[in-house]
Amino acid sequence: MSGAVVAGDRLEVEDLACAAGIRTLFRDIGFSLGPGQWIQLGGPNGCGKSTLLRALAGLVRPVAGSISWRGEPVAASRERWHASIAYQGHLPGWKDTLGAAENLRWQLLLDGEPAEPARLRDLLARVGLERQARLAYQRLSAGQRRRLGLARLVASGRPLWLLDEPTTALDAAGQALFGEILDRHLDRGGLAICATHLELPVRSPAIRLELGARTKA
Amino acid sequence: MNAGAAIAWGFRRDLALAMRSRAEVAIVLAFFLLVTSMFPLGLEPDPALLAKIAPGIAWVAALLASLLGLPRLFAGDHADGSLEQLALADAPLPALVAGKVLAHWVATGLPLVLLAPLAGIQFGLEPAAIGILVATLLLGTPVLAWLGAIGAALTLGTRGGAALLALLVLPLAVPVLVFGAGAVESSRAGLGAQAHLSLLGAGAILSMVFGPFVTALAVRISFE
Repeated sequence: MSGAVVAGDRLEVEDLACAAGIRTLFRDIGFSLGPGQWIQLGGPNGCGKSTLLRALAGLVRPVAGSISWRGEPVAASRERWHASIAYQGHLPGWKDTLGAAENLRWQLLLDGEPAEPARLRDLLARVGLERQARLAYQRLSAGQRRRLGLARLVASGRPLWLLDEPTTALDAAGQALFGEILDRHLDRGGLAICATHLELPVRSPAIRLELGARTKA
Repeated sequence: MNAGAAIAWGFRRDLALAMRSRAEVAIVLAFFLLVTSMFPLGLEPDPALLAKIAPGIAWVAALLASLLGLPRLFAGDHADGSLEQLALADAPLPALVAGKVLAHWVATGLPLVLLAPLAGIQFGLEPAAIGILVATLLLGTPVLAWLGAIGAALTLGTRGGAALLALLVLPLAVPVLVFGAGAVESSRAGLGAQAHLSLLGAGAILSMVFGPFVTALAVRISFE
């Protein structure tokens, strides 16, 4: 499977710059991320954390710079790149009218993961949603909604996770659970970039990347 | 995921979603029946006149009804972020989009085709003309669905998207309307509907071939 974690996974970003309209959000961003490493992306509101994640994922086009994965520019093969990443933006991508288990099922099928009922049950139990499996997403609390996102990550075999504020609205137990899930991913040689204002309870030391306050255009 | 699996995913997921919001689908069909029923009430009850205008009215009603259902095609996925997940999937986006549009057509276009005989009977159309009307709608509604899909994707994230969508799609739908309504007219005049049906069929094939790629491109632009 092209999405599985393999040794030698490396994300290299050079001189990346992104703009919102005519305003430059950030420029000259560069880093190299290898197996088992993760970046904690910080900075004030509006500095472009989400935009950086979206640019890495390929949702927005950077104005300058290059992004390479396994030594190859990610633009060379969009599908190979997308098979390597799991992106969770600030919009979670769940349908209001579908139940928790059903939402998870469609997402896992889209991710190319097995999604038989027993596995869905296990995943929901892992994140503490076993009793909400049939409850429509719109009836879940804010924290429970986040936990559904964690269930997707637990199932994900993608080597690089791009997460935008993954622990917002989670209670202490939920944050600890996120830490465990991310640590397990990193232990397996996975990579992650998390945009967050909160301290994440992750055992592995983070590489900190602070995007500056509003840079002038 | 290969293209076939992606089409199946989009189709089955959107059909499941449509089943959850049956009311929205029913509104489209109720609208079609209401609009077609208004004309016999508002015009003089002259059977010859009603039979003459029936195809045009059925087609305009189908066009407006299909417009009514369009915003739910992508706007919901755009608002809750699932469209981003589609665009980032390890699957060809045109195929995922094709599955979604197919489900949209099955939920809102195909029922219009099936309801058309009912509208035809209200106008006193003879059975042969009703058959032609159904055939034109069967070939024409997929074209409307794809024109609408392109418009819906292009107007994502714009304010007043639904009104803009109507302005964008209605002029493009004129040829479909002309050939669709014209087919019934010319068959009743004894000229045969072969040419009209062939042109509609060509339009359907053309829209199914190019529609997915154009729509996928418009979806990607909407994230910028």
